[in-house]
Amino acid sequence: MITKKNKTSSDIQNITSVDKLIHEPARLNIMVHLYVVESADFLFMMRRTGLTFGNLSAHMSKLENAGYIEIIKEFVGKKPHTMLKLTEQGRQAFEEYRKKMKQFFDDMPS
Amino acid sequence: MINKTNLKEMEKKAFRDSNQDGQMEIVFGVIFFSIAGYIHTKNLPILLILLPIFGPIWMQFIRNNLTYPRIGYARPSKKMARQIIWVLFIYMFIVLFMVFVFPFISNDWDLSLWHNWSPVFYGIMTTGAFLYLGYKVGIMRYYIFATLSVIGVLAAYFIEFETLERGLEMYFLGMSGVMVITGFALFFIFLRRHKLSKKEITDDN
Repeated sequence: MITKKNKTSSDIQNITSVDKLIHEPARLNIMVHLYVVESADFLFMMRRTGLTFGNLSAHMSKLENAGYIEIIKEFVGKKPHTMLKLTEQGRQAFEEYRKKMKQFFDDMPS
Repeated sequence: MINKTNLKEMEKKAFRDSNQDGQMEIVFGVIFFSIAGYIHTKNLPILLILLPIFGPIWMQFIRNNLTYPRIGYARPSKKMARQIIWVLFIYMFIVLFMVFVFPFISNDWDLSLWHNWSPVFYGIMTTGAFLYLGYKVGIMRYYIFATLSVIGVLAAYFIEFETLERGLEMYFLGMSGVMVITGFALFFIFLRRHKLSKKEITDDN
């Protein structure tokens, strides 16, 4: 039989298992904004997230190393243009994170 | 944060942001102008042939040089874009299907009625398309276009023009004028509001 005390402790364990790479506010911000579009460039992401170029680049590198983000180099006319895209793995990781957080807040006693 | 984040709303906002430069309205305006030209000349006007070829090239040129350097670029989600195209296609198909089905379900139908009701069918098509776009991407001005479309169709139906075609022609010309003026106004507001950054964001930064 699951007691209320046991349930609460399992909820807390659940929150500790969230993806910490996504949980960081700046990276969560990036993940959310990339989740709702197919792909976006640096300027768009800077405007939407409010992050500076250097800050955004640093977080992007971490997300790229984890396989959550794909960086696509394109040419617009003769200028190189970098597009950022959430990978399938990144999409799944974000959905999983969202599910866990929602579950945690839903179960939290008011 | 995660509780307050409405992903659907963010998706709409990303779409709205990418279309705040008025280019979409200008393209709609040119399409309406072409339809008016078609009704007037009864021949396929040159604009209607050139539009699918040069419309996207022109829009891309303007956006690459003036829009994206100011606000950046985001490709909308494929799912959303596909859904919009699919729903509009089905909707147009249903309206056209009704146009052809009416004569069969009505006992006292003759071809002149088909002719008389055409403003209503055009109106249903354009109003429905604007209403759906307004709902789907949350752009308020599309609801205004839908209202203007209803007013325009009613005017075309009730005002006694020399011929019915003249009424329709005026309707499409009027809508075209509204769309093009709105598009250019939005474009100038956009250019004033979003100044080009002095330090360009490039891959070399």
